[in-house]
Amino acid sequence: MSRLLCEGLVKRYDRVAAVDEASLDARGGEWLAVLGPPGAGKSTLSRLIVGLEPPDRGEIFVDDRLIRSARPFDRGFGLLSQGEALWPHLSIAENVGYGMKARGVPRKERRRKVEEALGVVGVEAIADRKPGELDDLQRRRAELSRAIVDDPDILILDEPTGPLDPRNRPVFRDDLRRLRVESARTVVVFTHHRDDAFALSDRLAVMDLGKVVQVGTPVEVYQAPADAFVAQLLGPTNLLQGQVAGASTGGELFVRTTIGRLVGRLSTRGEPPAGTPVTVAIRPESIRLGPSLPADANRFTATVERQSFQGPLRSIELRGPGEWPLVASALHPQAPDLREGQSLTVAVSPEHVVVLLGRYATGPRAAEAAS
Amino acid sequence: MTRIVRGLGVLLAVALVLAPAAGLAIGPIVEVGPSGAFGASVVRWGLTLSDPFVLSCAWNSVAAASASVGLGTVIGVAIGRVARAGVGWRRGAALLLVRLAAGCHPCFSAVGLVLLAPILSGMAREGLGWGGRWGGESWRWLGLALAQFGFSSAWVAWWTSRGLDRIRGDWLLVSTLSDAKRGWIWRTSTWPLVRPTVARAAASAFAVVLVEPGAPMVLGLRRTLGAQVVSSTWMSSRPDWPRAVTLACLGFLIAGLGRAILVRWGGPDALGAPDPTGRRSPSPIDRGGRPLRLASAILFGAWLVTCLAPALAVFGSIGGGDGVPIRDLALPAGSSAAVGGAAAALAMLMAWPLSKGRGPRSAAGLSEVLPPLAAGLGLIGLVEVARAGSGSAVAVPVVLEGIRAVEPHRIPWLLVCWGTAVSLLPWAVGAASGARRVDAGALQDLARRCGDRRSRSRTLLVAPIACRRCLRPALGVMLLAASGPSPGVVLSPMESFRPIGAWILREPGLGGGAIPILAAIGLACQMLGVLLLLGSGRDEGTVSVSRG
Repeated sequence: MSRLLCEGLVKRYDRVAAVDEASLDARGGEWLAVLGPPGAGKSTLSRLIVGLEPPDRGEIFVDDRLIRSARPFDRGFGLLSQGEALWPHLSIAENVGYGMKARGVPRKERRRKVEEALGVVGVEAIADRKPGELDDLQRRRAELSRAIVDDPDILILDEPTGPLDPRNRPVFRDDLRRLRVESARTVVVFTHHRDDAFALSDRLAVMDLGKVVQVGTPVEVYQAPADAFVAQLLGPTNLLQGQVAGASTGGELFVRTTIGRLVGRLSTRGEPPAGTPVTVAIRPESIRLGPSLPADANRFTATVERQSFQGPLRSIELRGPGEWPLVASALHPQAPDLREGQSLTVAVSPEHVVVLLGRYATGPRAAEAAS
Repeated sequence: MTRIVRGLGVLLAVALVLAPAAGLAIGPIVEVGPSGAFGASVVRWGLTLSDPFVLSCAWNSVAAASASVGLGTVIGVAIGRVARAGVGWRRGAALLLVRLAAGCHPCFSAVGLVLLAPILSGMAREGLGWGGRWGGESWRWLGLALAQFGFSSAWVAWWTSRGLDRIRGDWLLVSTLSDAKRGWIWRTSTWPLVRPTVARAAASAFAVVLVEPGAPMVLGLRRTLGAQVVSSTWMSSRPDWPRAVTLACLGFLIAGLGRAILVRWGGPDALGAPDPTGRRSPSPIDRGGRPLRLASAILFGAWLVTCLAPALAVFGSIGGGDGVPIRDLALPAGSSAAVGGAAAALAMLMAWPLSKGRGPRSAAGLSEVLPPLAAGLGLIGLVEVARAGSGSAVAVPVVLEGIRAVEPHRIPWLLVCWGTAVSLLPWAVGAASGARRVDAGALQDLARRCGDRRSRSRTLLVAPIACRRCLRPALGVMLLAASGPSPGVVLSPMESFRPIGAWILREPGLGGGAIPILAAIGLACQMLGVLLLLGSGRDEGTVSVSRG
């Protein structure tokens, strides 16, 4: 199991840095997801790693081997590219064995390896079919077979569920998870779907504007995002600006906001001095509504503006103190019976009030992350 | 009611398209006896095929067309690759030059070669030490091959580049990651996908150059099918229509056979449409080292000189005369504009019903196989059969009278417009198919909710968008129709309705140096027409060349 290490990669196009000092460390056997909105630099980073573009600066290592100037094939990666990449005039078996044929691998060995790779993904039955005769899921499975046919130590998955119909995405994710159980290899997943990133990673690296802004396990990054951008990228969140008012001995932070004083915890290490501008992030599912509220919670009153049914969840839009709009969500059967215009007390436990250093940005970039 | 009208429209359009083929089929075999009774006979076929002169003409045409299209295909594919390999403005400029070269119809290129003859002769004598006089038989055959080569190679280059546009970057990415060599990728992956398009383009070019009369007549090569067909219709003291129709039918059969062979060689088209967003995937293929780029540039330059030098000679000859009276040019220009406009309008009218449904489209596909000159002779064959059988007891008088009515001497504009429209139908059908893709469903629904009837909403919303989409290709078709020599050269005995190419062939003695000017105008029309046709968003399913 190989380790992939990228250090300070830079790639500029006409003075615009598509990748800006990006560093990644995918440990041996680990599944690392690189998550970012479109335009964050993921595709460029993947092309640098695979060797389709030379970096302007920075180094790429596989284990201790420097591969910065190695040719794509010599790097030994398997690649599942983001577009559909099956030659339409070749059968699936020919497509899977394409690379081996190009390198002159004997037919017998080629056939054996192709059968093996198709078997791993469970698509032996379509070996003789042409891509045009298959649905998108079968084609994607065939592409996955081709990516693993050489049994690469490192597999790069670029938007693995991108070309798929939404209903086929969870099915293909299951295929990938099964692959993980059956063979141990290092995998780097580049995606802008947070569902893919959560489901397919041991660790998560969040990218924005060419930089890696946070790395951690999915739970860590979700619960303690580095900034408002990451918080919004990983799911709906309520943001509120404020100033540090002080700190408790238990590590809790007091924040002065327009809706009053909130108690929360800092997402990063350190203890900011009083008066430091901060952003408070509260996930909708951590807002408690109804009569039984914990005693130590941050409490305030709000008015129900709208409710919407979202399958297993119910989304409740509230208007808090100072006209602060916030969204709460509750599992549908347990959601309290509310009516529009109703005034109620809401509460958030201090461990769910995440304090982020700095003001949060507004504008198209923030909207992109939120969407 | 609407459905009946639509069905009748399709039937009429199919009949108009099939009529030339029907004329070619029945023209050489139908005979009318002294009593007026119709009969079938293969005597004309026998006489034609047993004539060594005809066989020699057919052999010469097939050899010249095969050689020029064969070499044109090989060089055209290379040029298409070179043109597409450029980046940024270089690619745009290279493809523009390819399109301009595609507008060099062999007839006008031959005029250019004749104008270049003294220079080339001097170069050959002094530079290469060849004593042969430029203008000798072998030189003229070489000129014909060059004119046809430039035309066919340019069209093959264009369609190769279009085929390569449909190769996705993601497919090539796989090749790069597989450590495949450039030649191996081309041989096993890219070429099999582009080959069907190349084969269809080569087949279309073959059908055009095989019976094209312009270049052989300008170069004085009478031992060709095209020149023989034309000389049988109006260059001899008494027109020999049956012989001309039989020769044209022979040309049609050879073109069909050639197309069948080429399409079989090309195989089915496995490529989909290009990315509808126009987004081009980043190509992972490197463009080769400096030697390859240099060799490509030299090849492209040499090819460009071969294709465009005659055109430059034609344009350069405008200022060389003593001054041409405007009245000498007014009639040809006016008549060609009238023919072009009418033929384009008829082609678009025929194309609209033919662009929907597989059956009508395959009927329209026949016009791709039909050489333009053969289309004209097919119509003449039909008229001649009708004329011969007008007194027959078994004939249906109304039908025969109807067909006789379109005789060139009675209605001089109808037959030439009909024949030209059939020749250019593939382009018109492509434009109509593109226009049919207009999706104004939401707007129509809105109009209907506001109280408009369905037919009215279609008229108000879809028709203007579709018409706008058809405008550019229709203009291109008009320019080609106004300038191409065939089928106008056999369908327009009257001066008042004759395309420019037909003027050049029929009136070579037009005074005051008018011919070079007419050739320059015709060439400019062809180039502009091709630019308009290849620039418009037409249906990618049809591969065609400029016909006429």
